[in-house]
Amino acid sequence: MVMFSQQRMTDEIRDQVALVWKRSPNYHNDLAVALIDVLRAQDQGLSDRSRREQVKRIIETLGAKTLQNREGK
Amino acid sequence: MRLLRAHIQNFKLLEDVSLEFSTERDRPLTVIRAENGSGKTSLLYAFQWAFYGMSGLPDSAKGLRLSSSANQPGSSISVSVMIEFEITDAYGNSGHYRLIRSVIETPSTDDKVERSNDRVRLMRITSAGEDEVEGGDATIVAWAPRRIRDVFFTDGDSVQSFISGQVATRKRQDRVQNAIRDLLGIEGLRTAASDVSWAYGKLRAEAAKAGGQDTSQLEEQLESTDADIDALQQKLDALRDRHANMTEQGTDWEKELRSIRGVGDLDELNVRIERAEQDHSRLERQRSVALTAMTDALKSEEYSWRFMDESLRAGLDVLAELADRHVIPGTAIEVLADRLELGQCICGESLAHGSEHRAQVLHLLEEQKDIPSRRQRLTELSHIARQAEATEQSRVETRHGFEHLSARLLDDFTDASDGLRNKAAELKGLEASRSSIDEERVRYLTSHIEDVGAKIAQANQDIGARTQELEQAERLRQKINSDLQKALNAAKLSGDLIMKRDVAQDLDNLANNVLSVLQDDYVDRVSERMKELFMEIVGSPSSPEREEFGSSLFAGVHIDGDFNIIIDTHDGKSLDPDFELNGASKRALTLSFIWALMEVSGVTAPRVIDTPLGMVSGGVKQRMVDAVTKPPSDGQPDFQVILFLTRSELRDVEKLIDARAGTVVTLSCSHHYPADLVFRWDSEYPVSRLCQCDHRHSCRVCARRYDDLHGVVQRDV
Amino acid sequence: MTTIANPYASQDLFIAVPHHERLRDYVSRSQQDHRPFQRQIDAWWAALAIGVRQRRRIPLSQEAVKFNDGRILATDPWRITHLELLALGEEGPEILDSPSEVIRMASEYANGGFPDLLDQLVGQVEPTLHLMLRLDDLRR
Repeated sequence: MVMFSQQRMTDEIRDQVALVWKRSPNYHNDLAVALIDVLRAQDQGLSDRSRREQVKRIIETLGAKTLQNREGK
Repeated sequence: MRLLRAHIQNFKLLEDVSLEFSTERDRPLTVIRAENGSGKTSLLYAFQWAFYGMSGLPDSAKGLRLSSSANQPGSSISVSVMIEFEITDAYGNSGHYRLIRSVIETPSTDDKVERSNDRVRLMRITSAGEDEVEGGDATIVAWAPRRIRDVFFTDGDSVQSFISGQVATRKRQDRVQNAIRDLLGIEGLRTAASDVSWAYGKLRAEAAKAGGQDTSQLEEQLESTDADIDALQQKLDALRDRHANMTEQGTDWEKELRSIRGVGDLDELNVRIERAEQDHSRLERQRSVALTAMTDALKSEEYSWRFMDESLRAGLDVLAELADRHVIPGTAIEVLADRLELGQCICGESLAHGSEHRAQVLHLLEEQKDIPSRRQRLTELSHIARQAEATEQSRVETRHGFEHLSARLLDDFTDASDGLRNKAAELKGLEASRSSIDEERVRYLTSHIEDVGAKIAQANQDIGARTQELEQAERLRQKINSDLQKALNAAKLSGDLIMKRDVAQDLDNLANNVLSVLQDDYVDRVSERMKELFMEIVGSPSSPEREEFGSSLFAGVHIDGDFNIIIDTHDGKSLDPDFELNGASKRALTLSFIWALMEVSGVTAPRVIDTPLGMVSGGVKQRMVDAVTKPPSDGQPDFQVILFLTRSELRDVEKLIDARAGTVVTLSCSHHYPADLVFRWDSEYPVSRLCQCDHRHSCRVCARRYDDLHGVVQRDV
Repeated sequence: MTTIANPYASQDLFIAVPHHERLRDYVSRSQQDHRPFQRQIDAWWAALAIGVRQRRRIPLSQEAVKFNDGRILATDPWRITHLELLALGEEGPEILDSPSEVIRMASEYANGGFPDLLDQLVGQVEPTLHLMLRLDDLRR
């Protein structure tokens, strides 16, 4: 995730996220940020295993947040 | 990444060189004016070495020492290159960094050099000061991957590595594909997608486990089916790869076979063989004619005379004796009658009607009729035999007797036979060379084409079978999945577990969708943009410079599904960039590709190009410089281009340089004095120096003879 | 203008059986054949010339094959002339009164010439050529 311009990647992710079913009010934004976080995980010099665990934690956080937002609605 | 400044010490002849790069958005060009041999290549290598160390240098440069060969053996010298740059990192933050790579070299007496390990320091510069970044080497490589070094640092000659060169098609495709993947961030996104997919699997398994034994089992089945699908997919990919390789090989062989069978040597050989065959049959006819003439000679009167000459003359003698004895008259009835008809006697007297002579001859004729039959026969024979003898006599005298006739016939026969022997040998040689072309290679090619054809057919079958298996596995997966969903619904899991699993699925889909956009849409965009740039440089079909590209046929250019860069022509064909493009076109095409890739990816990276305008001139040169230095339009990211140009490359583009270059400096080398440099430097050994002269000026450092021819004016410094 | 009467038209021409058998291979059967002789008469004459040259005159035994008759001589009239000159030189003018004697003389010379002629031909790949090359030897 180094070479491609940050802005272009973000734009592409936002374009594509609009096609996903919205599970909570702020879901699209949260999902896009989560993917960017997943991409960033590669730049931290972690082992494959640790990076994947981190990705899993990002998703779990997203799940919890989505549930909260939905219930809060 | 934008380069701000560089400082080079003791790298080759660059003893102490500092330069600033243009960072102006409107003037993205930095020009380093330098003639060949001034240290251009050293400067380019210095940049590459700073980023990648020795592994960043071309193979040809790897064995060389980095420091000047003027350094005395035994004295250590520190080689270092500092590059200061700005980079917008993956987090969207802009950073200011200083990269310093250094090494200690100690030359020994035998022209070798002892070299310490490189030392790499990456400093982050902030308003608070400088912080060293840990693992600077790895960070740099992550920012500017080595394998796309070609995109950032190119020289005029290797600029074509994306479209041509002595590399196999697959390797070239890989280069194009790697450049695209890396610059579009496809690799990173792939990793992200695979990480998400892994996490999704884990979360799914956790949910299934919570759902009880049924769901756990179904989940396990699902996972094993997924593994099967992966394995099948891998097999299928390998098969398709093999298929593609074999098809390419088969096509190459067929092409060769066609060229052997078609035009060229074989045709010429066939013509020569045909001609030799015609000669051969002509000689055979000649020989046959000679043999027939021999049979004719063997039954001829000439033959008879040749063998029986003496005996025949004995007969003639008998006749002569009989005549002497008047046994037979000297004249014959026919002779006398002939003479009367002619009206002249043998002696020349007239035998006109009523003449005395005629009366005498008529009397003689009357007497003859009384001679007995044997005498008459002898008289006739004598008459005919003397004629025959005279004829033979004249034949022999004119060399038409049997002796000469037979010698001629034997000569004719020998000529024809010798000719035949030579012709047969020639024919044999020609046919041997034809069969050596034909048979050996053709047999090889034919059998291999057949072979590969059979293998391709088999591969097709295998692909078909695997595809079916894959479809089956996918249907099975769908069923298991749907059963699993039902079971999970029935199990009444906690909302939290379900939500985590569902958002994981959403993220998985999202990552894959973005990936496919990058792989398809973005490659199309690169392809489209490359075409625009290329056509812009090539010019309109009517422009006179179009001729410089060696073809007015270009209709466009595109990247195909196999990552080949293809040039399209107006008649719907494609050109082979290796053979059907000249140097100017190749450069234009490669630059178009690199620029398109940079633009579409939005990457701000320096493009450092050595001698990009070699083999290019006139309007084409202007359009090429125009295309690669055009400031970014709104919404386009900044970019930076650093060109190493000679005085002759700069010619005719001075005005463009005025407008586009934020910085122009000149690099010169002391060893060009006195042949090229006007002034002698105060240096005892060869060294390259930079001065601040732009493309229109010179000074006591860089002034060259014939500068005035390039319109360069000397200034006082 | 000068026509020759053929007193030999009614005479039969013979070749000794062994020679005739050997000769068969050297007489052409078609236009394209490159055998040394186009007709048997040509071979007979060639043998005759050799026999005369070598003064080898051998009477025919009982076993002889009639291969033609004297009419064939008229196709090459010079042969009649040569035949009679030969007879004249050999026997004197009287022989011309007896055509059968003339033919007998010729047949005996041919009979004497055949062995050498046939020896040159036998076993040759190109007998015509070989014969042409050996004619000088046969004249000795």
